[in-house]
Amino acid sequence: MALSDETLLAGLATGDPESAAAFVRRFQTRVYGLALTILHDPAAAEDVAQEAFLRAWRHADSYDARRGRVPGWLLSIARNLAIDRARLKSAEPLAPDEVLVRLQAAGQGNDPADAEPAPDDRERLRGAIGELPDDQRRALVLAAYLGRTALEISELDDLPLGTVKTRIRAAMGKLRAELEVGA
Amino acid sequence: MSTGPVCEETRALAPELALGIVDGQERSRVLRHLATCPDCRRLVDDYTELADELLELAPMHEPPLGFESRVLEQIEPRSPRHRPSRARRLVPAFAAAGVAVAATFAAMTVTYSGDHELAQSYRATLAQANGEAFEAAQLSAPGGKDSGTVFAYAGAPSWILVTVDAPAREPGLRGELVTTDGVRVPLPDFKLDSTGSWGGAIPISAERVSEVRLLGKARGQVFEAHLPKPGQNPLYVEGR
Repeated sequence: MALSDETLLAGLATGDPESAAAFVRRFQTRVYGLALTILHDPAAAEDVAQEAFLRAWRHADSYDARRGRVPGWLLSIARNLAIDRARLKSAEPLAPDEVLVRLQAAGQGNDPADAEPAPDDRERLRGAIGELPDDQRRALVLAAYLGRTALEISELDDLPLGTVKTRIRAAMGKLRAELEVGA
Repeated sequence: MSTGPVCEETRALAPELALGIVDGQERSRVLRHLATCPDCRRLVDDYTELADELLELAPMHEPPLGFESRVLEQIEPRSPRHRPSRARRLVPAFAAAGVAVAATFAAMTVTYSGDHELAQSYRATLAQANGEAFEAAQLSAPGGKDSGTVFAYAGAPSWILVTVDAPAREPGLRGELVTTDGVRVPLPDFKLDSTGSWGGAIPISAERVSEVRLLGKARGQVFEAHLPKPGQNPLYVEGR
């Protein structure tokens, strides 16, 4: 039987070679995939993915199961590192429209690495994003994947700050409702 | 469900908070509120779960050949480290303790040597302030040059003291923390004094701080201090 994500993380924390290898193998395609989605630069994405695993190892004991599952925790680390990398190195992250295309393509099995069927929640969420009005979807992608604050989005799209905040809130509210309906 | 202006503000900000895009004082205020309001915390937890799910939608890609080995060769076995007991209750901070901590930090900037006597005084200060640990880290300029020192104190509240060497003291440096899970927390009150130091309470536990950064006006001009974990630092001293 496969070990749980939490068990592997606990093993990684101690530097146990088998747990560490299993942990990296289990999550490397997701971590690297997310970094590549944000940075669209394979070398930068590899650096970020590598650093995300090392950070997970160093700070495994700060993981709190009550605050989320292991994949979300690890991917948040990768996302934050990727955004940081883009900011600090003046790299241009991917355009939000392109991020959307990749998210939707992943759901259609167009990515050969995405061989496993996605759980229902993920598919429902992907569908709900597709049904959001364009302006809400753009604000959501800029915030969730590219780490832009509402103020940054308002400057980028030349919109009032309140409008952007409303769009982010509306988009997240609809997605949350969608997940609750399916629960 | 709880009501009140801070609850309303927190509910309005919950999606942005979960996405990690709330800045500065707003973030500190809301986080403080979350510590005391289970209803708001539940809402933020829901949105955080959603934010995590969103990241899982990203397409998977095989990393380049050899990725796994490159990661694994940097991960070393270590024995589970001893940590101060979580069961120990920290009493609310009080001013005298804060002053004592700050005074010890100031002393450390002058006599940073890790000798036994100094360690004893840390221990005494930690005991007085109900704190858990001191940590110290070198502040490095973009090229890696040693440009100062960051001290962190894990207590209630947690503090940091930053000292910057004269050549690196630039006007307008901004301070921020990076948490162990990579979230950036700005320090809106950060401002170096004439001696190149700044010290103050931080809105999260020092145990959750992975890096302290000072950002210059030019893009890419970043001074970084990577805080070691308790137990991996010669200055680390447990409290009581």
